[in-house]
Amino acid sequence: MKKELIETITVGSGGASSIEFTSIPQDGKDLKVLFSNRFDTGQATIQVQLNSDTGANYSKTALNTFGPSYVQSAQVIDGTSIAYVGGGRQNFTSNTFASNEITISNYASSSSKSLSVDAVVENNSGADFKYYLSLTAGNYTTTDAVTSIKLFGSGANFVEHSTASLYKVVTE
Amino acid sequence: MSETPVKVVVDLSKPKGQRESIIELTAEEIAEREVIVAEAEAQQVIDDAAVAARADAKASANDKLAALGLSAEEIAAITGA
Repeated sequence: MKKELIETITVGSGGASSIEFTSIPQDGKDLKVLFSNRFDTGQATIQVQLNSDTGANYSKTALNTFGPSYVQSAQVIDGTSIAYVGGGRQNFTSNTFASNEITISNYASSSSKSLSVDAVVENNSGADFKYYLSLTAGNYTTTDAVTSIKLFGSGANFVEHSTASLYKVVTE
Repeated sequence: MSETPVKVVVDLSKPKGQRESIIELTAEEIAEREVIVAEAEAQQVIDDAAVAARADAKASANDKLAALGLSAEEIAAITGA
């Protein structure tokens, strides 16, 4: 197995409300998105939506740590996207960006798609919220192959220099 | 930030260098965005309530253990706190 870069996008000046990869090639096994990001507001939740599907076809469980003193475990939520905690907040230390990795397994198949996200952000300031660590397990419950991925915040914009790279995992 | 939010769309069916489009959100998309904000805020209320309830239960459990005669160190040893 090897990982091939499909495309890298960096948000320009003025920011962007979402980043969407469309017409994803169907010749890979799994997809990975490496996402460095920061919001222009104090929010930290990022939504992942597949195939522009706004139906209630997503479920997730998450373990979130807001360091050093707060752990939020085992949320089980169904919804119209998979939301995870892991965006860089505007009120965090200047120029601090979050680092997220999203994996979608068997994305071109007709089975439901499992999705995992690990996300961290280092604030290095404040008594609470010095950092986030989150692990999210998700499921996209349709039989449709994944042809597009949209990343967005709830009413917030990704700031300039936020970067998303899409990879496909292929068999050698 | 611009007056109207924009989205970045990357059409991978196009050749490299021609894939990226920066598009202003439509009124419909802005309305959808506001719905998502409301959903997220509602979920945050639920999450905060769950965290508060758990903290209250933990404090109550620790009080009961202390009433049984356990020291703070013994309570910490069995609860991992």
